[in-house]
Amino acid sequence: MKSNSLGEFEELVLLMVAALHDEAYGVAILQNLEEKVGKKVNISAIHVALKRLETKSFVKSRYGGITTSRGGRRKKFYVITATGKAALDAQYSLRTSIYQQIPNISFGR
Amino acid sequence: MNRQSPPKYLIQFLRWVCRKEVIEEVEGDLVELYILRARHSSSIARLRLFIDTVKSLRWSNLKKPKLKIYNSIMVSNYLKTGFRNIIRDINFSIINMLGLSLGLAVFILMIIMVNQEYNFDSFHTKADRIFEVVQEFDHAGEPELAAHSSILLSDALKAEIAMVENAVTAHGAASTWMTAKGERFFEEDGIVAGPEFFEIFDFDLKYGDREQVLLNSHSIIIDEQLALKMFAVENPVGELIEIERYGLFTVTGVMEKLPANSYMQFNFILSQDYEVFFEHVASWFPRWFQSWRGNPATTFVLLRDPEAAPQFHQQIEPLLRRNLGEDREINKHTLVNLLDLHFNSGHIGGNVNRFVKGDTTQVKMFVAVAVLVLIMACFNYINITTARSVKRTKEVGIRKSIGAQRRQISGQFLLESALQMLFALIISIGWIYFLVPYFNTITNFNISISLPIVLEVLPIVMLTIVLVSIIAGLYPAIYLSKFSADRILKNSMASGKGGSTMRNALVLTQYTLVIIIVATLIIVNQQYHYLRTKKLGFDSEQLLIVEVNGGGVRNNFQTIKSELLANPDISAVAGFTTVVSSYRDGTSLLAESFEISDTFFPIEFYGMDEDGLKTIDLELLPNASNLDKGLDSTSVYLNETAAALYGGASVVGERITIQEDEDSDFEFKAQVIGIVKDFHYSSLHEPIGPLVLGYLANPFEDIDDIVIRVTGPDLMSAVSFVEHVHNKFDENDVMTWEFLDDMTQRAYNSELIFRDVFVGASMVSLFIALLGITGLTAYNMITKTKEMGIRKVLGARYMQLLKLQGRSFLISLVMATLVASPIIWWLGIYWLENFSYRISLTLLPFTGAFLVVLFGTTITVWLVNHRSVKRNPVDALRYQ
Repeated sequence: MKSNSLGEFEELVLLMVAALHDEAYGVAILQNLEEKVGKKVNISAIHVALKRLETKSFVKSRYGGITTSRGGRRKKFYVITATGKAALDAQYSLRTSIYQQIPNISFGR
Repeated sequence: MNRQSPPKYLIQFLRWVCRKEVIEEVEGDLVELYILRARHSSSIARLRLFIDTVKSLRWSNLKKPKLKIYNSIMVSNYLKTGFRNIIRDINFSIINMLGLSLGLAVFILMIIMVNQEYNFDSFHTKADRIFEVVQEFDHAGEPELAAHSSILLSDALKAEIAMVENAVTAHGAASTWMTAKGERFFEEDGIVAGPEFFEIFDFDLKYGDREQVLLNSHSIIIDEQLALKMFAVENPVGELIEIERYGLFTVTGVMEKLPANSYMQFNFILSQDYEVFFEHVASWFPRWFQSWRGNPATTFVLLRDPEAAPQFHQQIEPLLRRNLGEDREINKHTLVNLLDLHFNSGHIGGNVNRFVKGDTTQVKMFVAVAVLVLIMACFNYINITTARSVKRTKEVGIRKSIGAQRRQISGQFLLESALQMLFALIISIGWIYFLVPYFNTITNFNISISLPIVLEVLPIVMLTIVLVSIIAGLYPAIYLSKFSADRILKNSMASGKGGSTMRNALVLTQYTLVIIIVATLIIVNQQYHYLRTKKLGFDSEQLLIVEVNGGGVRNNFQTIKSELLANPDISAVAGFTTVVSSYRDGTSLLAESFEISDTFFPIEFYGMDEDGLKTIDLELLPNASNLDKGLDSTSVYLNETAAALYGGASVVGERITIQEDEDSDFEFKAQVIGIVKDFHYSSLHEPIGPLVLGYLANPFEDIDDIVIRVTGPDLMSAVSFVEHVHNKFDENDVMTWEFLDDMTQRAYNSELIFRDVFVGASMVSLFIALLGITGLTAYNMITKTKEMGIRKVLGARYMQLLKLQGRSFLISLVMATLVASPIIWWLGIYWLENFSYRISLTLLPFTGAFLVVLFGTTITVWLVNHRSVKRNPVDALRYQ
């Protein structure tokens, strides 16, 4: 059985799929991610992440209509599933709970 | 907006490699990104698209080959059908596998041979740093290389030259009688070596300490076979061997038998005990032998860095100068790496007992033959399999109609060819055992088959099997899987006609190869026959040659001669400096020309006693100047070629000057007392050159051969009589003797090998080709059974039916002869250029090869068809 954990990049992609709700497909995710993270991301890396998320059933996909801007190919849209949302929530609460345990330290000079 | 489309080839490539499920997303995204990027710069967009495409080649995106073919149930079904097919058509299978196994056997033999030839001396771990010292001597202005150097060189090198890590002197040991445990053995294959020998070379010792074996004087190391022969025990270390004249030697070690791929060959090693070696030898000889002036030994050096080898001469020049003195010429000393010696030392003279020198041309020739034979065997497989495919079409049709894909069908047939190949491999082991002794006798490759060698070549053999199964199986696989299911099943007997063009082409190629090989054999054989039987200008029949090995015989030659002549079976006896024979050279000297003093031409010298001319039956030209004088130490004969250089017959009576080399102070002046008719004193590779025949007592050479003309019918009893006389005067040596015509033949050994290899190649290739023809004819016979029956009913005669069957082969054969002729012509001319005296190309090789193959084909066709043509046509018509 594959573990249903989330890698860092996968988590970013999943967050972006959730944020772009219903408008999330390869190129859109790429552009938004590059904007947010501020560094170059390769499209095939996103494809791989999406595929993994889909096999873990964190996202589901559907095809859009044919657009001329894509050489006649359809867009493959991704939507986050309930499991995906739950995974994000779990990740988020885990981080927050640990974060809150950090004693109040200051790094003053 | 200017819409640009991305490069088509990249997108097409993507579509070709990516799975259908992902192509939509990947291609779509890539194209969209391209278009977005192309708004800024199309070249960057193209570059990025390229990078993205490459990065998209992920395993999960790629198309996978349909894995169904590896389905174990199907594979076992393929194997089962494969086996059944082999057994059902057992005759065809035998034909197929005989050819394939023979081809494989020859090929594997070739791999073993090449493996051995190219791994000479590689068993020495330091081989890359071991070098042989080669000295460049001057001979009449020509440089002459020899592996000869002073025996003092190795110690001096070790002590004084930084680049030399270690060095050892080695040279041959005299052939001698040895006594062990009261039994006498005559041993000829020994060397004498310094104590460093086993530090440099990795010859394995079975018993004895590598560092000690040669350290003490009077030590002998023998190989395991000698140990068993002399002592009948495995480990005779510590036993004593008495060596004739030298005294007692202690066995300090036992070597393993030297591997066949060792350049140096010997079976015993003596320590350097010069005081006993030279006890009975004239005193100038040991002085020369053990000095810097003498060059009696071979030096091997172990360099610290092999790269430094080219600087060797430069480095040792001061050392040589100091030891040789100021006034002596210093010869150039160079180094040749041990690994290069086997193939690249043909031009280097001198040896330590026996060196195994290889011949790359011979290796290449054999590789070519082996590859051709294997290819022909593959052709057979292709031919027979496609021809038989008629029987398989139904199977293919059914497999296809229940859903087999073309890839699966071709996979099945490839698997079948691999299966047959495996069987063929097993049979080929039998062939190899049968072929190795034959192979070793006709060639000098002397291959041995042992487990380590087999393991070494196994990967290559396996690779060959895989390759051959693919080469041989691919065409049938493609061809058979091409049939469309509905066509096959509709007309129950789809014809195998589609493949017939291919089959004809392959038969044509096979015929061409066979004709080339057979014709070459005929040419080689004609030339060899010519070499053997050409009149040499003297009578070489029934001439017994006895080598003079010891002083006893040399000093008592006149007594021996008169004792020999007392035997009625011996008609003439003469002493020669070297007997005139194509196998051995005379003495190379220089003759001064008449017109201009101090200009010389090279001349070959042979000395003989007054009975020399008579004994070998040389013909003198009629003497113009009426000079009636016998041969003595002031007179010589010239041959016609030499006389021509002196202006012809008028030279008789004149005095000519001969000397050893241009700077020599000594001149030999002699009167020419006659001209002998030109005769072939050297091999027929060479043209006849100028020759001078002098007296046995001459300033250049001493007696070396006794030439005896035997007349009686019983040659062997004459030989034993001569041996009896010889042994009275030399009890230390075994008499070495040979008949002159046998000795002459040895000059043509490489031609003999060449011929024998072609005899083998011709037989094998003809056999394989005829196997193929057998298969095809048999197939034709089956498919045309009905036709034959009908023709017979309508009144066709036996011969007409046979002709019908053989016609297509005859056409192929005629065409093949036409194709092969120019190739044979070129090959023949090319090869014959090696000989000064050669046959001219006639039609015989061409017609001969044609007739041999025609005969073989006819017999084959007849044998295969005889029964069916004779058969009652009613049976034939009932068939099917």
